[in-house]
Amino acid sequence: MSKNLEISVLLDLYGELLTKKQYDMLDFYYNDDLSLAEIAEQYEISRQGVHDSIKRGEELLLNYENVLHLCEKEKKYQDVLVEFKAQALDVLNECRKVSFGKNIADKTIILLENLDSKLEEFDNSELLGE
Amino acid sequence: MAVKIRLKRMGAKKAPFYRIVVADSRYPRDGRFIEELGYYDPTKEPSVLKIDDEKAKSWIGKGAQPTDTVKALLKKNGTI
Repeated sequence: MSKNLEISVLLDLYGELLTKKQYDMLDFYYNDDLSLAEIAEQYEISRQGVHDSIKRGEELLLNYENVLHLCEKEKKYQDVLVEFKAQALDVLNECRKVSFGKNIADKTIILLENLDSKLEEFDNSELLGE
Repeated sequence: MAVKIRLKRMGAKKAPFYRIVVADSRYPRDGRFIEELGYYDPTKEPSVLKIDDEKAKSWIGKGAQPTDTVKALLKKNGTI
């Protein structure tokens, strides 16, 4: 694939560190899937100019990631949440097997709700629709 | 009227999600599109791709131009 959609995620994380124009061009290119020629037309500059600007923006974003690793950390954070959720579900199942487990089960449900609310940030399934 | 098939990013921060849409090339940004052909979710492992083959072929037959990114996805899906 010619466009690297990973850039779109980096743009979410570090976009505000770019200039407005740089941000907009990357946004057009990755989030609206416009071609270089279409962007060039909007800004009334050359296709090469757009290309250079986008390349420079990408380099900046990749550089920020290399230093700050926010994208990588987000992914790890999500993995950890998923793992904790599985463990909490295990606990809940165990509680339900014993007669005195109700209090623990209730607390585990609160824990699961907390984990779910954190995991929501990573969830796009409501967009699947239909 | 030039008609394009392109991706449209949806989804919150940290949860990118793309609709594959047919849209008039003159209004790339106003959010309007003619028809939705499917979606692409790169956040799943493996990524999830769903395209309505029939509709996509019919639009291409009518001269709609897929972007390079969409073209790659159509190939991956076996549509073209």
